[in-house]
Amino acid sequence: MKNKLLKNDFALIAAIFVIALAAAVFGRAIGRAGDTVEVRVKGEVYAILPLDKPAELDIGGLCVLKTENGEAWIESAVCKNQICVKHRSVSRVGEAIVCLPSGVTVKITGEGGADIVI
Amino acid sequence: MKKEKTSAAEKIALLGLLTALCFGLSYIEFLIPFSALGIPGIKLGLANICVTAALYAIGTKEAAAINLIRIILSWLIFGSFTGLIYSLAGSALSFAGSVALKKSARFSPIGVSAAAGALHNIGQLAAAMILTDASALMYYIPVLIICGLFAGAINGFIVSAILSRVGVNYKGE
Repeated sequence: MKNKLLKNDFALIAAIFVIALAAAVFGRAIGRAGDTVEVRVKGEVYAILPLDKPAELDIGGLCVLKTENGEAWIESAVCKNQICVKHRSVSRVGEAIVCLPSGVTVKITGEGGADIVI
Repeated sequence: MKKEKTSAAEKIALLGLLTALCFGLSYIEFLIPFSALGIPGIKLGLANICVTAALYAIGTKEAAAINLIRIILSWLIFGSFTGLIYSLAGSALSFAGSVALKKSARFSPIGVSAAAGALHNIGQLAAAMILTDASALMYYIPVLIICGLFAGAINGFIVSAILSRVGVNYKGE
């Protein structure tokens, strides 16, 4: 009886795992490469940069954004937790890096992007 | 535990004790800097050990009460208001899932807790997406589901160990 429950547990965990992987693959497949990166500070647009050429932007002394080869990432930040710095680079439309302590958001924009809400 | 008739006072004392334990676990969790991993929102969900054990050993209503009080207490001591909303959304979804899966009697606490962990993160992220209007958070769902799943499975393992020691039979309804 107990073994049967454990077998079901395993099936349940495996099923959820597969669903998550499928969602990840699906998310990548529908994501399109973006053209520009939109930087906002506390909701207000601070700058919009093209993604195709290398650039470095100091966002109001809060953090430093870098772009290259269609990707954008936060190079450094003054905040304590450094989550945005560890965040992987973003390149697909709709992907974003959020730096909560300083209210900075970096979002990839472009044409025909998936703006999906589940 | 259900076999013996317990007095109201005994029950109140037990629930108070479990709530305190639950809150203690929340605090321990608060001390572990999981956000240092670079993935915000990743937690062990230790307090859920207590809630799930109560769900099996005492009952649905009581476990729900412990859960709710724990969330409000954690919010008062070290949370923010948005954190409270995320917690409530995640816990509501995960608790509903736990109750349903437990009722099906097809899974042990390990499966129940694993699914609850995944559901908690889905609920939390859904609340975050609605509140911040950041649909980009969608990319984050798979990671959170998988982390919740494994953290939940570990907690479920602890729950079944506790239940067998306390002498609660979970094999059927």
